[in-house]
Amino acid sequence: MNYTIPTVDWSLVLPFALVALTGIVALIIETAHPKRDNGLIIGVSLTGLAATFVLLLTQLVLPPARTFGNMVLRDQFSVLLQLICVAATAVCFMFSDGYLREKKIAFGEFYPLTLWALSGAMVMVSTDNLLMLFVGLEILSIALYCLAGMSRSEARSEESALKYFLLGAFASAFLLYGIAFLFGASGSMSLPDIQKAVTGLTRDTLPMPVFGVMLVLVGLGFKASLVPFHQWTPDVYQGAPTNVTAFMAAVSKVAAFGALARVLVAAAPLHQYWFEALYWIAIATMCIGNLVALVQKDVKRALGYSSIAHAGYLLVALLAYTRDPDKVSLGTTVFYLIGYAAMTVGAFAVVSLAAKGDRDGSRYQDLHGLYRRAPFATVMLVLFLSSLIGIPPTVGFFGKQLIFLDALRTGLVPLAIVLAVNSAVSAYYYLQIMVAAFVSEEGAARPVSRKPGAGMTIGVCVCAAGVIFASLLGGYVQETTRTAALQAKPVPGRVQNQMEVINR
Amino acid sequence: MQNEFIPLLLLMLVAAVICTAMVTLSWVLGPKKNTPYKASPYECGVQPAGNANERFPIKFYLVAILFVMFDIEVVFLWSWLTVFNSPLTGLDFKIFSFMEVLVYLSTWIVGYAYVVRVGAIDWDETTSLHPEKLGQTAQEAN
Amino acid sequence: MDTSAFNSVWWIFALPVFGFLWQCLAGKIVIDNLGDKLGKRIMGASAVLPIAAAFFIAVDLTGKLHSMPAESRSVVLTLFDWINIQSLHVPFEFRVDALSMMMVLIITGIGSLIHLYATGYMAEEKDYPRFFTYLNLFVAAMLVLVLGNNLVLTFIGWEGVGLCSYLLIGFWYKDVANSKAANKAFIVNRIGDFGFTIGMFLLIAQVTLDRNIIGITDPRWLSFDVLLPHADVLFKINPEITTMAALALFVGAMGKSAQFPLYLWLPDAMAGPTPVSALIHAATMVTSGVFLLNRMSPVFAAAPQAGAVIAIIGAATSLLGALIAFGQTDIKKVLAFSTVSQLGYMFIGCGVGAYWAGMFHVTTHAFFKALLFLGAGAVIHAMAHDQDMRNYGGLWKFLKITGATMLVGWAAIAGFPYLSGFFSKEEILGAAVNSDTVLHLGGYMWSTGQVAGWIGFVVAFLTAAYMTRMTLLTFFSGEGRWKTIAAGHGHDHDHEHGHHDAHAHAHHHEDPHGFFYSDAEMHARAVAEPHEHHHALDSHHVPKEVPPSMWMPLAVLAVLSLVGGAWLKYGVNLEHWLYPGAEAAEHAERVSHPMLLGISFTVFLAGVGFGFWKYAKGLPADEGWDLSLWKRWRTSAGRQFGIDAALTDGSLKGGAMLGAFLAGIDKWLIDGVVNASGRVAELAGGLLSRTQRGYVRGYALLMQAGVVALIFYVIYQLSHLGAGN
Repeated sequence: MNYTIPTVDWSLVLPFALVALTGIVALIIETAHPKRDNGLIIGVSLTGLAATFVLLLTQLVLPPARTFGNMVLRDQFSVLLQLICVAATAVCFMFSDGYLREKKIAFGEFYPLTLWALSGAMVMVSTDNLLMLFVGLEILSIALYCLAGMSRSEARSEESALKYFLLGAFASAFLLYGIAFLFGASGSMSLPDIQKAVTGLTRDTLPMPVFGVMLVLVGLGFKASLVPFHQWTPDVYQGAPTNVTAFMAAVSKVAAFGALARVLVAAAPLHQYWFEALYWIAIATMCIGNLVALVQKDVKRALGYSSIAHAGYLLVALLAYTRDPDKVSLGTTVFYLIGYAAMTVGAFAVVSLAAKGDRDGSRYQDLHGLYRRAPFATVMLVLFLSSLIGIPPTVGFFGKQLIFLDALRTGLVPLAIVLAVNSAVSAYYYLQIMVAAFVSEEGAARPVSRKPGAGMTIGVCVCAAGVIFASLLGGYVQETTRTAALQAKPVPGRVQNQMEVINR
Repeated sequence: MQNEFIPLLLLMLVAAVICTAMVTLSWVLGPKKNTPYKASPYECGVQPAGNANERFPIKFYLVAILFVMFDIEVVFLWSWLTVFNSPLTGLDFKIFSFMEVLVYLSTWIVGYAYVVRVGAIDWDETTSLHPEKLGQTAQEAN
Repeated sequence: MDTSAFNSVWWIFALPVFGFLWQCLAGKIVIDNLGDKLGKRIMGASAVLPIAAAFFIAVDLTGKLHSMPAESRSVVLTLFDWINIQSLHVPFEFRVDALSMMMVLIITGIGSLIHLYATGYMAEEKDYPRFFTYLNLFVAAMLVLVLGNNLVLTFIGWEGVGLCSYLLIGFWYKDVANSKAANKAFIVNRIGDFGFTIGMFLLIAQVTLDRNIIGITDPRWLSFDVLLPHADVLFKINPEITTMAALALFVGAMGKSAQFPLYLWLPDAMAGPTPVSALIHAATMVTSGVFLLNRMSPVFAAAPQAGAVIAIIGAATSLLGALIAFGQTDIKKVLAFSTVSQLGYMFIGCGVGAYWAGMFHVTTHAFFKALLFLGAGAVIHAMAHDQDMRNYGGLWKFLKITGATMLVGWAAIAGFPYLSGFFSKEEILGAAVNSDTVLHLGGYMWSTGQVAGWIGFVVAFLTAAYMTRMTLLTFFSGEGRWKTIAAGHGHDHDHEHGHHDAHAHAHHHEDPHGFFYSDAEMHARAVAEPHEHHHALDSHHVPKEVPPSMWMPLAVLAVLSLVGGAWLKYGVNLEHWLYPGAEAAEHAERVSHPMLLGISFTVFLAGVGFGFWKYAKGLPADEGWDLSLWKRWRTSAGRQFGIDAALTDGSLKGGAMLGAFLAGIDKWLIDGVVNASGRVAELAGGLLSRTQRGYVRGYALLMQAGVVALIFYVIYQLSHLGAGN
């Protein structure tokens, strides 16, 4: 047995290695002077993210490549998703400063943990190997469990961390189980191999991969908060510190959908065994997310349900793509994720202004008077919520329009209709949040909200720019992912039937 | 044949000696305060009888978790060491993998340093926690 | 084709835009810092200069155009790609051809004269730069209208001039009557714009349906240079739709060009300052309907039925306007109804297919009507802002220059042989009485073109008569009647808000139609904004001649009114210039000129004679002279025969009823459905949220249930699909 040094293209792992390293550096700073060098930690973290962002931008034009024994994959799809994750995290870092001080959360723990979670998310989207996917998922999840419980003086934060952990572990078990099935069926962890293996299956060998795909979908569906694996979402979103919620909503969703896209593409040959199930899951996710959000009294909770609904929209985009990859592009999903990250991080950023002391102050009436204290941020909140509703000319509108058209193009008319109806329904609770921010603070239960700092203003501006100008990227994203989609193009084959096999 | 087991025996012997020495020395040198707490069967903060929904010091768990984590680190090291030690392994691979393990260990060291620095395994609460976190206790201390 | 020689057309558009920006951004600062007098002088000059410069550029471009061969006199210049949706490109592009340059010359030429006039007329105005802001913006918008090379750009200009018209009618917005007049103009124009858009969309629909048949591959198919050459084939595929589109476009033209029944706003629009009346409501904007018909003439040519309707509506409008003009005592109202009447002429011309004659009359009318309005403005200026002709009389002694120029205007509009109005009117009527334009209605053929032509001769008689009446009452017919003003004629209340030259309502017209304000609100506003009184017209008033900045434009326009018609007809050969290649066939069929000339002379002489017979002596000093002549008929004419009241009241009441009805539907049916669906959604949300009880075990259970359901689904699918194999 001879061991040789594997040849590794380090540039492929450099982005998430850089992010993880930044986290370690931040932790070393904290270790050297606990709770003193907060500014330095922020600076180092943002610098690291900026470097990663630039690095990823340079990689955007490179041809797809693999390394580490095909465990790590870099294509345009992965680079774009990583870019979204990095940018969203950077915005979270920008506005976290004041919030963390208000809630007395240690900077030295929040920043490194978030960076590591980010690196996990980046691993998750830049692989088509189920094992790497699982590792990335766990890096992301474990860090998130800790982050959700960061606000230690709040029982609700602790509760959310524990809930997230328990249910997350539960879901991971399904994921692993599914991976095991797929491995058993195909003898490989690599999605392209699995795709090849399941193309020519007979009736007898069919059940194993089908069950495997289903169980993997359960695990990823949990992360993406698809109904009926969604129930943790509102509790955790509400309980976790608001900046963590913003991170979770954006990055975790991007990672989950990135992975889901690759798995669904690999499972395309088994199309007829899962498509209908996901079809109904998409409908249920859109409807339940929006309907339950209507009766919420808490902004973070409402946005949690809104995130469930948006997961439903995204699933529609994915379903349309898997149904007919020639007619529609995976770019729709990427584009929607860009817009979703911008608007949701922005909205959470502004909502975090209402935090005071150990309370998050995220009930609707806690937002009263926000306009007086932070007029700019509030106007931006209106922008973000408008985008979440889908009012032109925001990116939310164009994203939904693209999904809608994709669904129509591929014949998923009921999904398109449900999407449109749900968009209308959702306007109600988003508008409620807007109204709450403009109500005078007199008579409010807790007329306190912080004035936004410079970081908050910059972060909100970045999100606003994303919401307004990201639509310009639409065509570019569609084009770029088209080249990447060559990697992920499903084989729309059907399972061979018994006769053909016998005839051979 | 028998020679192969000699190291094992030696290991057992050394372990026995060290354990005996530690227990004996702490019994001889340490202060002897017998409290009911100490006298409890597991001596790990958990009441052996009564309601299960009981508050208990988190310290025990922190130490336990840290122990498990560093233990697993050693498991990883073990698997690497097996390959490293193999006569079939070339020198260049040894150097390469050693570097990798160093990187791996250094991250653990950073983590360990952090854990120590923030006082996670510091049993004395007055030094590990900041005064403002102590709240009432700090005022009483003053 | 190299179009770079025509690039300066962008300057024609840009200069007024710069002027507009300069006026609105710097105007107040300049006047505040440099003092009232100097500041106004600077701002006035900087308002006139861009328009004048644009005029000279336009002259230069027209010269270049003239030097080109006749069939290639159409240059399209593109600034940028504006709308780009797959198979449709709508660039921001201008078209330089004979028609557009003619309009540009009118707009910038007469526009700069009127700007110059306005610097004197508005000298005492506090809001000086605001006035020129609007005026420059108007010129810019009007230029987009005439230069735009596609219907969309035309529509932008169309709306832009509508906006400016609204702003300028309501320029003295503190008087609620002016605000109402502005609102009225704006709202009535909405009806026209609705027609315009419908027409535009009908055309677009036709092109999208049929362009593949015709083989239009250029995505710029909304542009005139692509669309119109195909019009004769394209729009004959569905003649009914083309007729509808043409009529809808004509409704648009009716709104802007004040044709019956949408003429309602134009008399009220006299509430604006007089230069505005001259520029917008006589010379340029109101003729944009005629311009539209000319521009889209291939479409109208494909819809002869629409032409027949246009001709008869034009004739009805011109007759109505001329009749109503007899009942007016306000000098500007006389001119306003005269404008309505003359616009009717232009539509007769367009309706019977003599588009170029319509444009000819647009041009000559721009000369003499601008002249008359500016002259009237000078008179009003000299008469302490009193507009009532009953208080004038014998002004010739005081206002020699104004009087002389206005006499030229009178001669031109009345049809004095060989002055400008004579030629254009004759071309229109000659074309009409010889036309074969027929309307198929109720199984009969109605020769509406010829009818319109003969009505036109009647109107020519009436025009000569009422213009003679106006001129006599103002400048001659006895001594100045204002000297006996203390005796009172029962219309003193007119002076109460006489600080500016406009009354939204005439003496007889007691009911100005408030669109948005109740009487109480009107009163409250009037009290809250006390007027700054000029010295009122009293018996000691001595009229003074106006300053040179005001009479110089008059002089220029007078010269144009004298010789413009002959020059355009013989010097330029306007028909050939506008429609090369279309003239030869028409001329042969015309009734011989001597006969037409004879009729025209007779009509002119009869009209003037009638006017002299009735009005030369002025009026008896002791009582309301004017009403003694055919009192009932004239009172009725003064009230516009009740048309205005009927239409406005009717539409207001009808609108209110319709609104109440729709509000009911909205409240009970639509709100009911909406609220019910909202309730249902909320109820469903409430029920679903019950499943979220906050227990991890519950969440895990649901997940597990989901997994079980999925597995059952998979097993079902496997067995089900397997059975098919």
